[in-house]
Amino acid sequence: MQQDNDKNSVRAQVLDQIKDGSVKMRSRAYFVLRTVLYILGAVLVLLLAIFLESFILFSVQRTGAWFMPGFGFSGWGIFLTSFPWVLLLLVLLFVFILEALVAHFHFSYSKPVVYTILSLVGIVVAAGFFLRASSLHNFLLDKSYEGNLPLAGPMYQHYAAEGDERILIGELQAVTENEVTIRTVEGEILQVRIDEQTRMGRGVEYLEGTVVAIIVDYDNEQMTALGIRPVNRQFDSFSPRNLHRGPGMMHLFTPLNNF
Amino acid sequence: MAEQKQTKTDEELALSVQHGDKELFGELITRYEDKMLRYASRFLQSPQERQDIVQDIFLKSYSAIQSFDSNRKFSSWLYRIAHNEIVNLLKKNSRSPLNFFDPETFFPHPVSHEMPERDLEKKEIEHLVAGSLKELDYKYKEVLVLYYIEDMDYNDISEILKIPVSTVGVRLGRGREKLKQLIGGKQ
Repeated sequence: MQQDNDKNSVRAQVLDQIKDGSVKMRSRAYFVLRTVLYILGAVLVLLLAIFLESFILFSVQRTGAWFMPGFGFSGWGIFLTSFPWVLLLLVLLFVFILEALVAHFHFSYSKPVVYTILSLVGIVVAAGFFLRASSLHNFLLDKSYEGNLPLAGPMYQHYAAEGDERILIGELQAVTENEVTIRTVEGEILQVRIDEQTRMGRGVEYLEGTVVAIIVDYDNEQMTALGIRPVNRQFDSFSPRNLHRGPGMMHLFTPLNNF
Repeated sequence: MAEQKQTKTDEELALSVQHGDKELFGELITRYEDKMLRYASRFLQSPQERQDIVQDIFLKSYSAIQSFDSNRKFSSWLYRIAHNEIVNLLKKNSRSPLNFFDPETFFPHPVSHEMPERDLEKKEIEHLVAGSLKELDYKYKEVLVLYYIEDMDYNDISEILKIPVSTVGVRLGRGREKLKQLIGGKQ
């Protein structure tokens, strides 16, 4: 009986409100626009995540932190303390925002959340590596040096222009029993002392022109190498030189990539 | 005309409403008002609240009818709106926030091919769920209601709740287990 009363009342009231125009039917365009905005939002967040992820790679490679784990325990310490964790947290935040945005679509909610998140992380990492291989970050870093990068400039200067002072990356200019001379990315010529404590790797030949990563210890303005490793191959694997680029783009690469 | 209305499927009626035949929305209300009132009665105690929420469900569905894809099931679409409205009302009424984060949706689970009514007879479960067991968590209760009372299949429930099909199976299984525990505790 109560249910019948509810029914009559519900039907009548809904139809009355439709008839008197107090409830409007939203247009199809409204829903299409909403879906388009969702997609655009998701694409924008995805691009931001890819950009930041590739910038993290660029930053750790350019500052030399990337090569530190190869030095063992002390190298790992330097890597962990100089890694841009804040940027990585931002990337993860973007991935979670992205997951929330795509959760509205059938392809996402019909699968466990962990699949969506892993797929998004995979896309961001793969695309980030690809973007890192392009000249974009070198170009933007140059712009930041010139002061022509208003928004991202401070980020480039903070995370990519200068790294941990214990790390040196440079091209060997000369090697003696007590000293190596390197030319850094900035073109600076530096002498670094080597002694019996310096770990140089067994059977490694250090020739002029080899690009090396050095962990240094400062003692009264004198730099002593705690460890030296060649990094040519690693640089090659991330160098944009294998990708197609126009002849006018050569100036976009930092000297580091052109050693 | 009346006969024509009755022979049309829900999806055809919704399509006609989308194309401007607003009168046919009344036929959709006629078809679903009992179901909506029954569905709302599983979660809301007050008759006035039930009536208000069902009214809101139909008003929302009329307002959003252009977003309905006529290649999909109208019933799932309408129950999705009902689910959202009821969840919003429960959140509003609840002193402690309802926790809708669910690890069951996070990780993959194998889809169970076990007949759900193997342990408890279907009729018995229907009777228990229909009894509005207050103690049961909302997330289990709504899956049990949709499956046993509203006679939805796993895919429909997955569409309505926007959760993976495997999670529907997990919640259904756990919901039945919790029902058994509750019954055991009362006896």
